Amino acid sequence: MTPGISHMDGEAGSSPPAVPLPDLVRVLQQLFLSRALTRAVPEHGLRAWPVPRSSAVPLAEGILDAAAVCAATMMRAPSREHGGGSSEFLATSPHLPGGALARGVTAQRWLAGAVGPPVPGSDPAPPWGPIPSLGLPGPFPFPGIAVQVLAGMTLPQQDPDGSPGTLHWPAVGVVVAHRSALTSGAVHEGFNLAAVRRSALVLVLGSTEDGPPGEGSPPRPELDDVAEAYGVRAVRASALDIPILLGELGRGLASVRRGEGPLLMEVDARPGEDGIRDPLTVLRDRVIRAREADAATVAELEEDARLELDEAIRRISNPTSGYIGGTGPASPPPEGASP
Amino acid sequence: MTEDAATPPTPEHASRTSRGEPSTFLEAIAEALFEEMIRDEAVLLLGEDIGEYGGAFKVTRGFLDRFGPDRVVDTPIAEAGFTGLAAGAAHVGLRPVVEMQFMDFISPAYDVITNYIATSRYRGAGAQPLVIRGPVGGGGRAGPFHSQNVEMAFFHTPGLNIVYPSTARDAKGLLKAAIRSDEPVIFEEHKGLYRAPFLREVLPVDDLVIPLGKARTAREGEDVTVVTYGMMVHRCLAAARSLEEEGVSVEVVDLRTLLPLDDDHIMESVRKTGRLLIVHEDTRTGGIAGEIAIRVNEQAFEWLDAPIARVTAPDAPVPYAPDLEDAFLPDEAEIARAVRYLAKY
Repeated sequence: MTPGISHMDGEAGSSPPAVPLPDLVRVLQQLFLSRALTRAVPEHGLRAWPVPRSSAVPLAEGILDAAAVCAATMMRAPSREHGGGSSEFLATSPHLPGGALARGVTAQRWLAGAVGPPVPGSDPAPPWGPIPSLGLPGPFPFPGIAVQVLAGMTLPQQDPDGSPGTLHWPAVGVVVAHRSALTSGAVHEGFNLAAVRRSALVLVLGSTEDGPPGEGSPPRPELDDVAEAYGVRAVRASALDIPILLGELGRGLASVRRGEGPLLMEVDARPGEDGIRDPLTVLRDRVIRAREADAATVAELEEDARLELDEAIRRISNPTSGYIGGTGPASPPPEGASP
Repeated sequence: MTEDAATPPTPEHASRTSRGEPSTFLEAIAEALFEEMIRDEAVLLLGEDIGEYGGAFKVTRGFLDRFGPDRVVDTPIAEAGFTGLAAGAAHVGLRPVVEMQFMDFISPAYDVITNYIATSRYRGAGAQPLVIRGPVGGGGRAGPFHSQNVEMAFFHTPGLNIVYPSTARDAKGLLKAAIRSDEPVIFEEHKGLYRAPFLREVLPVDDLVIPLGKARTAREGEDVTVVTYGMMVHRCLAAARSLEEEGVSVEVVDLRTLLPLDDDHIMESVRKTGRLLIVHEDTRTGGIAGEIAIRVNEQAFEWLDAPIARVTAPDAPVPYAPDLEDAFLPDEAEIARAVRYLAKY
């Protein structure tokens, strides 16, 4: 069994089918930018959505971002604009930078959405505007509705070339949410229906706290229980090993496309030997070690992300951009503070 | 429509029109669903017990045999879930028709209907061509969980249409229009009308589609306008007939579509009679009478010769006890009393 992956219904000792992996450098690029965005809002004092930089669970954004970026990477044609006719749908919270980037949202646009609506009467020229849930009829601030709606979007349909009763799965969907989504009855209703109707849906749940130690551990018992209750498969992939995560997502997407029913996927970080628990750092080291890019190129990618972010911040700071707040303190300075 | 030997038969109750027989209100609904499913393969039905069991009121009896389990979908008891599922299906080109076993059960789906479905087009997320239909209304001794009218829970939500027919003809024609609409439609069917013998009628053989958003004059009159819908149309018509013997001429306007309201039709009638009574079975506070009254105030105040009056259910849950339920529901005598008051004002 591939290290870091456990298949609930897999055969012991068997290797999962190979999935062609995409360009890891491109994934790294996306992760650099999503990390920069995650940090930008609190660091620049933007009035924004509550991006939980100082969460008690430090891997929160890193894991969910990695899951979203990897899911979009492994989809056949992740949508770049709504209405583009894609039949592959990715749902994440609009607040998740990695999810937005994965759906094709630019850094500037994400920040514009984070900062708020334009001042009335100003000229909100593109690319400013609300964050679209690209490829999706979103946004999906609530995972329950995302699961329900995507379960409906990925229903099997009569194969137009087949005999009556021959089904095919013209659309697939991935919902990326925090594992706490399982506390929502709406998520269960949607996932149960997906299971009953055999929708082509992958529900990726990021666990942001440490899991039980040891690579290759199965999904947490509570996720296994949920999967068993709905008669679906559950797999677990480490967020710390991006190639493995990509491979598991690729296999999951292939299985739901074949009509094998929805898949529950846990993505988390578990204590490893090197003690590094950040998907981005692990991937950066790996890319360099494997000579997929040299250290200078990787540093350049990171710098590019920073420059793109700086440009986005600069445009938001420009009063003519018409956005309320711009940069500055999120709340008025205390009385008596020097200007 | 033609059927070969291998095709399961058309359910008898969904094909009366093709045999020249009269249809009940319920049969008209079944015909609308059946004909639309034949016409458009994108139409599918979802709901609790609608397949094997044929629905709590047997509207879809025989549909499963004809269309199969992928178009007649028995769902778990999960109104939010299957309404959300329908929203997703609508996004990818299907035209789902969701049956709430009783419309009282729509409340768990309030979130997805108001936050997702109703806002979809406004958010740039595209159309939501789906229908949510089911039985409403009291009089069946079914108590507060199986007797409510739900229109006002959704009336103030932009992006929705609400339809509430009163005749077999309207039920069929409006439901077909609702299924063909690109907008989400909540379609209320008063269960007291389902098998009412007096509503049996021979329906047109031609494709019967009645546009949404258009009221109709159920009875012409000169002295007082009564605006109403659903079961109350028939109570108001009965009151109008008895008042005619007293020399009071009552015009009854059947709204048919509650959202959007047909302001033009209402104003035209009010300008003719100068007196307006609004009657609904739904409870009083926040009822549609309040909205209609203010619109008439805004658009036809100068034509009024009397204050606007309303007859409604009181602000209470629908009672179980038969005597209490009878007292709860507006009746012919109450309506007639209110009309007399206005006529003499």
